[in-house]
Amino acid sequence: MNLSRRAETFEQIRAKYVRFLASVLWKLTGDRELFTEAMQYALLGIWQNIEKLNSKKAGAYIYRIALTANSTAWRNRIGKDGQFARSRIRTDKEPGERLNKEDLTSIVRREIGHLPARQGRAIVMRYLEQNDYKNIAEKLRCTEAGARSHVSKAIGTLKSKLAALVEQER
Amino acid sequence: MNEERIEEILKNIGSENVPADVHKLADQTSKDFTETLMQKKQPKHYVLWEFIMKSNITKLAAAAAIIVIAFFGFSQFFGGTVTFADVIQPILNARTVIFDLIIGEDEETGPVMHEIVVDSRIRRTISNLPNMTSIIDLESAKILALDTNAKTAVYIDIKGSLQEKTKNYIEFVRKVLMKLKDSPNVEELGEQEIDGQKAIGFVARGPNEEVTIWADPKTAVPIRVELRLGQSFSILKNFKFDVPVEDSQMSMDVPPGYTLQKTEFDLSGATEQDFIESLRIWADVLMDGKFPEAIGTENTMKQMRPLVEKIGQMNLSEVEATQMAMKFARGMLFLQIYESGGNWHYVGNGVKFGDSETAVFWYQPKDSENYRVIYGDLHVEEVKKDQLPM
Repeated sequence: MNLSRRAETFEQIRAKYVRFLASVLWKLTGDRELFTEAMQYALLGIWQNIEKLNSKKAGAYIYRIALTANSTAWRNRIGKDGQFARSRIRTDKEPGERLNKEDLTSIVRREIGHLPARQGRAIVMRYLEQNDYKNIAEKLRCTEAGARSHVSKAIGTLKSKLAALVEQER
Repeated sequence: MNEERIEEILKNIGSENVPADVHKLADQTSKDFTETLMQKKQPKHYVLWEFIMKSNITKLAAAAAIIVIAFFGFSQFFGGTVTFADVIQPILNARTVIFDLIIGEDEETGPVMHEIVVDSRIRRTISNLPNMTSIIDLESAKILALDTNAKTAVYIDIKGSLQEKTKNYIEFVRKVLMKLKDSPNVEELGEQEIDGQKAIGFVARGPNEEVTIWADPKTAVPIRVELRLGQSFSILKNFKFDVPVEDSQMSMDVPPGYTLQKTEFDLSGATEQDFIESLRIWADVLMDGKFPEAIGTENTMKQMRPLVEKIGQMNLSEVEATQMAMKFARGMLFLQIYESGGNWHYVGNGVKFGDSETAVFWYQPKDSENYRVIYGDLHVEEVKKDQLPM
């Protein structure tokens, strides 16, 4: 595909998915700086995988791009003081109280990016896009039971990660 | 923490509305990306480079990448006498010198370093890393590396052995010329057209070195200087002497609007192991499993941009990306020790990464009678001269 054709295809794909990406990446990042970075990675992902996004598997691929972009943006986040941010968890509270709702939400957003691919997609479809299981099953090309299983496993994984972090904070 | 709590958090995240300004932000980011893509007369990789450099992932890696160039230099001088005093006066006496430097002989497509030298400070930009500018203060042994796209700044401490290695090229030329001033080993090359100008040439040769200077025959202002030291070759051209330079261009202060990044760059004490790591990156990351045609500073400069681009595509964290660039830089610093006069040989062209039978590089460590041979799987053997791979 030559550059002008590629650019044209990119523009079509971008226009098709920009609202989806804006919605999913906003919910996964929750802040504008991180969102912008994730959006940049997602656009770069579209450009680099344009052939795949121009095929029948495009639906599945755009989720992968969104989740990878989110994961990369979180991993590369730098604190405003110029230091690498190892954690955004507040530490000004008593042990056991340290992880407030905001902190937990932030951790969940970040950890979604670390879930196995199908679990990550299932969570995004179920909770961020509010699809029913029938729809998720169609998109994931699996049975409804399979879709439930992916969501359930993902919640289990997130629970374990959060539990480990809570333990660390004690 | 139970599963219901996780589900509640997920539901809350899912029910968040996307603020209008975030949609605008998405549209603007998309627009910027598309505009960058649509820039004409630029190859795709350049367009992507411009875009990638706006991301956090590569800006520190790129800063690391340019640093290696700062340490490329010349470690040996040669004695002699000359009679071309008029030609060398501007180089010797100018307070401000601006010139372009090309490492290697590839003037058409090789990276060009643009240097502004005022006293002990150098402002350096490199053509294939267009967003990166470094200001080197040799007196305080510091480099201020600026990313003009991301508007970030990094200070790099080069005290100690790195300070000795960091070269002011024009200062080096001056030292050579001072040595040559009274030497009889200077040959006049007569007049030729050089870079579209009539020029008179002189060449001075030492045992392992050669300096050629072409200058305007009327004004004696140098037009072009060629330096050959050991296996390294460089060209200095497009000279301007004693032109006014804004103080702000040479300032070591972080420019207004830039964010200072507190990152430590450790480039001290480059070792053979660093060099091996850089060979690994070269073969495994840059060349998809094969060793390159050639290595050395000229080729390193050409590879800096592909390396930073590759890093940008590798899904590495910023720490990992910076570390990879630093490993590559440190390895090349090790090679530079030998480049301008040491005994080394690269024979890795096309050798498959992982090939334990085929040598890719050998060198003779300083003060050693034996040689160190590095193979395609990066294991090292110490051998005598008559056992070297031919």
